[in-house]
Amino acid sequence: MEKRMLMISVPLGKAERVVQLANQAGASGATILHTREALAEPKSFQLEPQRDLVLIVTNLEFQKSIEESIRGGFEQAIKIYCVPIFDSVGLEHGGKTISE
Amino acid sequence: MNKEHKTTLTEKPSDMLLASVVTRGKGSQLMNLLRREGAAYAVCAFAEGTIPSHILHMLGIAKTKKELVFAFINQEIEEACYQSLAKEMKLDQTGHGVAFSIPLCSYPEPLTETELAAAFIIVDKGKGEDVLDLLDELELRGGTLLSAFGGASMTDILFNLPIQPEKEVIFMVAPKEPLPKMLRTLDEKMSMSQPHQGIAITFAITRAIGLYSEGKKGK
Repeated sequence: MEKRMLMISVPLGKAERVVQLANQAGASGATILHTREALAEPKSFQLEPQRDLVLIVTNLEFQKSIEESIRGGFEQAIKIYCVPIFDSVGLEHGGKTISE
Repeated sequence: MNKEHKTTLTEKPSDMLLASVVTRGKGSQLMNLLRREGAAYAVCAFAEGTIPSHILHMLGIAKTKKELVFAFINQEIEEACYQSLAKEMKLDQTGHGVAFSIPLCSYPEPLTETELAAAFIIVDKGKGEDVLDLLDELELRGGTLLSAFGGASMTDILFNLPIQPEKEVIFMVAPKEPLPKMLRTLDEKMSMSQPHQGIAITFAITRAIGLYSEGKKGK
């Protein structure tokens, strides 16, 4: 089955909300990286805001519903990028089905 | 917006993930460079390089401090980004870092056979070294190690405290041929097909620069 990895960038501390929304929409797990974001305008002295980058690996059938669930759960625009997965191991047991 | 920025944040949708690994301290410079070239978004995380060195290993400092940058770009600016990475960050020379392009789902062209692939292996904290040893046996070296947190059991509560399991992510680039064997080996030795034992995923790579073994890899 075709799989995708969603990369969701949210302000620091909001990752838990993203994981909850994604799990409600059919995701079976997530990994969170603490990152910092590039500023739109580089300055000589810059403070880069910290972000949580949430990685969610999911089947193609759940991708849209997870994205919609996350976007619907936040008032501000959320950056979500989708990466196609070539091959995988360890995801066979975690996949829910649409009927669940 | 700075005049030097060639595109704005929303002009063109991103269709490529440009991942770069550079020495600790150069991540911000790299992000600013890519934003100046028109990258829609960029984030940077602390990481550890794992390229083996016998002398460093004997001294107990086998890992080197790195930064991993994820930049989301449009295909049209890819060439300009790679030229800037070679010119300003010297990524075309071995030892200065690596960068590679992973197509996103919105990539307009069908993905033809690529020589290289990226692997993302996510395991519980403490198992990263075991994974690296396994990869070493398969002659796959030069992974980047990141600290992460799991989200699957974030809702678990113990003594009224939420439990957030710590994870390790190994991110590496390798030729495509040995990767099916790598996935099989991870499954056999680390039981990854069993629940909660970790996952390993691979992605196509369309272009790379600065790879350790080959020095320079073009399109």
